[in-house]
Amino acid sequence: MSVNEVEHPVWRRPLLEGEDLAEQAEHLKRRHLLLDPKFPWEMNDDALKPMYRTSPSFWVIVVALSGLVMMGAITWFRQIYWGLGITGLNRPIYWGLFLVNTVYFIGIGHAGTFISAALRVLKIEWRRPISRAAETITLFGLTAAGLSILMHLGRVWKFYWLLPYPNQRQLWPNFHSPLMWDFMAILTYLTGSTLFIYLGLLPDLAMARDHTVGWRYRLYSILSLGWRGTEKEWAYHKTALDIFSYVIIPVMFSVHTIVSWDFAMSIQPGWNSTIFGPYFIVGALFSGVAAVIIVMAIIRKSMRLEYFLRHEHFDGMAKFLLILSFTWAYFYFSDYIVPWYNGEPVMKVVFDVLRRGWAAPLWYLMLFCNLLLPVATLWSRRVRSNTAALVMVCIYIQIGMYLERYFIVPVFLGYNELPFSWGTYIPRAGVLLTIASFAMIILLYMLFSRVVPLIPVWEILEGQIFQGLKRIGRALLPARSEPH
Amino acid sequence: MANRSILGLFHEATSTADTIDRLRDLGVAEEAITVMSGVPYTPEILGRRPVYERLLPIALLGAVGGFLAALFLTVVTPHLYPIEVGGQPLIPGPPTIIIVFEFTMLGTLLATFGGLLAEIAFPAVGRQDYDHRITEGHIGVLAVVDEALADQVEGALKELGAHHLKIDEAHHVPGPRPWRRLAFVGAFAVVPTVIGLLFAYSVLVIPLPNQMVNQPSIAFDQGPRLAAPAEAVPIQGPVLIDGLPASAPVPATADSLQRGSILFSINCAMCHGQDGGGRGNLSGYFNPPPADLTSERVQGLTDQQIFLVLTQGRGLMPSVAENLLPVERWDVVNHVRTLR
Amino acid sequence: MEQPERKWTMIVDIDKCTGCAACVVACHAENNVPIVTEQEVVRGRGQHWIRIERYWSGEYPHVKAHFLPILCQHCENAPCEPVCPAYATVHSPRENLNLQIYNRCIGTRYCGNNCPYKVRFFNYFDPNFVEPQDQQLNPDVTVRSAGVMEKCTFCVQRIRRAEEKALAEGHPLREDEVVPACVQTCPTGALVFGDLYNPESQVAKLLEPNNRKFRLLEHLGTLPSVYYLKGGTSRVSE
Repeated sequence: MSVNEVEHPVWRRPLLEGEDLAEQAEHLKRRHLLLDPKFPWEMNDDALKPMYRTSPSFWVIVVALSGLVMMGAITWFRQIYWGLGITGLNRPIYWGLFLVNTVYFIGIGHAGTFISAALRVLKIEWRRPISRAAETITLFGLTAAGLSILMHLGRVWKFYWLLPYPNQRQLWPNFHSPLMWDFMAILTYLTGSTLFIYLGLLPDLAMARDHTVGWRYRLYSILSLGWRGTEKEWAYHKTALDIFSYVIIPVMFSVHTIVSWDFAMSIQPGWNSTIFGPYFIVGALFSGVAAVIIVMAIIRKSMRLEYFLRHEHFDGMAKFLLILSFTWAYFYFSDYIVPWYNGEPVMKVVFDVLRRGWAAPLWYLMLFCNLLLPVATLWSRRVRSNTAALVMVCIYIQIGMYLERYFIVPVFLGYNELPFSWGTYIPRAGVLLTIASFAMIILLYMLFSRVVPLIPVWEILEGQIFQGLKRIGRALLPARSEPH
Repeated sequence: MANRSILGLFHEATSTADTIDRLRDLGVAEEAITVMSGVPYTPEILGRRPVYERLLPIALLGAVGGFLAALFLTVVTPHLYPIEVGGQPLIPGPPTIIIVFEFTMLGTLLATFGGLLAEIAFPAVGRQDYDHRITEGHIGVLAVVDEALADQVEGALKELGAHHLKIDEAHHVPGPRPWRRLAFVGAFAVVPTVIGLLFAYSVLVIPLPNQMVNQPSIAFDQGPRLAAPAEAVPIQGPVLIDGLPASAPVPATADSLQRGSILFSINCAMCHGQDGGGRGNLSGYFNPPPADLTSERVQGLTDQQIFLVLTQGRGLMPSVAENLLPVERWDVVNHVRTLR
Repeated sequence: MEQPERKWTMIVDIDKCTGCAACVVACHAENNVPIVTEQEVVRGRGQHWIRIERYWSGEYPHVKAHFLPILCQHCENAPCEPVCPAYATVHSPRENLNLQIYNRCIGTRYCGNNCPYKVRFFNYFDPNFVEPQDQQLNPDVTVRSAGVMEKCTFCVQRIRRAEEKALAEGHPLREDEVVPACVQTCPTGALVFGDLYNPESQVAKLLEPNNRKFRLLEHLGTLPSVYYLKGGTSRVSE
């Protein structure tokens, strides 16, 4: 090809000739991010500018959240000083809101890993703009989960005894215990997620380094480790991301399975169900994808990312959410029908409480939120394209999934084989700490979004370069090429 | 002759590939050409040899390391300090598999990341040949050539459509400066570990409440405490009081008795009376009144018990330990014995 | 691993139990069990290492009360043991005791969840021994701080003292030398304690040919060391 016929980069390529095709091309451009290339420097701007945009309302929210986090810290110190008695725990309900929070936060983190790793392996292209924002939920969710676990310990200052290291106590941790498996799994998952998000961030940190000044420039220079984008760097980068994707998927499955085994390994009625492993995984993905949708909608509005986050992304995730709601219903029904059919005495009492007792309003609310509402709404394209409606459905799903974990931990624990030792749980200090945990996640996310570009620009550029339009007959269709 | 580094920026892949071909024709070595881009272009697109990267073997090595670490934790450590729990075998099968799986994965991930950093020589320190426009969608072709070739290379780049040429003295290749980088990375890893270990081995200690070291219960050799009932086991042998040296009785020689008598009249007679009958000058002020030292109850105590009363006090009677040395107290005890 | 020398076993004769709760008080006194306030009991945190569960049967006016003293069953396959990540509850195979090691406990409370008999107690607050109760505390038994689990130990401190005394005196431990506080105090003799491996012991003799014996929740496979005897009916009011 001579220099006169130089091929244009994708963002300079003129639209195809022919009016009918032009109209189709315009339509496809509007709908699909990867067919709507922009000048890279504009895209960089779109990704970097929101980091500087901190309106007064942003700071008001940050201050409010910091206040809530401070309240949580004070409550935690009070709890350490006085003892766990300031919570609502008792005998037999030894686990309450802290464990519910732990399971919930680990759960919502799974969607991030799924979108970054599993969708990448499956080469599903609409994952590109949302992967980092979703992984960030994982990161901070795991942090909050770790803190919740620490909060629930009776003598938290001795938590380091659970770390396997040679010591003078003549003790190593007990690996028979599901809590140790939990610890090791969450450690692996947290390390993996952090390194995964950092790896994906490297090229974007380099981009940020090149286009900022002052303290940001210094920060990104250090964090980008001198990334230049040479072939060697890209080749290693790609292989590392591949290895991470393939490895972190089984880790993700194992983590929530092991969390579920904290319950399944016990002989507590209602807990020792063999289906807990996959049941929890599906529940985690369910609440996680809903959380991702909520966060996507918020950052799209507040950070003006309308170019990057389009209807196709929400549509894809909402369809996935619908499938997950069916799957969750399947697992919940299995977990319900087996003890129901067996007529196990304790579970009979529990189900009675759920259906007709004090827990009935909450139970029916949970079924409505997790089962009825998603199935009734998410099939409809109109709901899926209306962001506000979609976010409402997702918020209800969050409520439903939180209730589901609440039933499993404090409600089931109240009933066991000896009726003399039944009990009820009325949360006290745990409520404040729950609110503070949520506030902490949101606060960290907000601050993170102003320090790190949430949109993986390099991945979108890569996708745009390798996607194009193909004419078949009278139609213009998206076509995807794949470098091997 | 000095080396020059020439960096040309291109818009897209085809002209870049053409340029690389031309450079090859000019005799520039493959290793001297570096292509930098903001988006990953594969070697096939640019007409380059594929990069030989070794991450997979490194990752597998990490997996093996993780596997061995897990086996150590689950198989070796229970044998170091065997503890039986719940009727399960010492090395339980399924839990071992779980731990092995998790550590193998962790090892793989850490090794992959570490391998990446090591192989690409990250973090790179020092000045590098780079242009910020590369993250604006341009592809950079960097050639490090001899000064003689430099003009030709420059011409070729311009001809094939490079815009923005940068020509510089070749820097010291920003490759390995291992010590600085190792120190940097090592600090991140080592310092928190060392601090953690200092806390773990109680070198640094945060005094926290709720320790069970200080017990509110009173140990057998600890005082003060309420008097033991009469039928309690008497104390034999030397007196052991928490925080004081052991004190053995002094034989009741004439000297001891004489000293004891004098000390008694100074310290004890005011309350207990000169004859020890419990009716000293101050006895009316106390309720219950000072003990009758001639009674069966007091004389039935052992010497050590009387010594204990003198040292710790009893009821309303204060301790006389600051007035009397231990040996003086034994003298008084000997004197009390004569007050029958 | 150690070889089993003894199998400490307790027999609770429900037919003899009058529900007087003297054993509860004795246990509190011997083991420094904290006395929680009424407010705490309302919250469900009553703390008695041995408790008397009272059940009513029959319709008024022919109501009968049944008493079931429940204490730690010292299961051979204790479900509380494998789940503690800090090895704070371990098994002593030598004498078949379920040991609770207070200073290893970091308070994860999984053992409490996993005990099917719900005989494990968590110290939600620091104990408050109002004067002069603090003078009465048993120095042989640790006073637990907030954040640790506790449960009946079969008065292991008395077992150890008896063992040391027997060793010092140079004779094997006679089983009448060991008596837990509850057994010592029971006025009707409903509680019997001893070594099941010793065929001469009271427990072995009582259990041997006995169609009144059962164990709690045997279907769970925990193999408890506490046997209950129930044959006739115990009547409190007629």
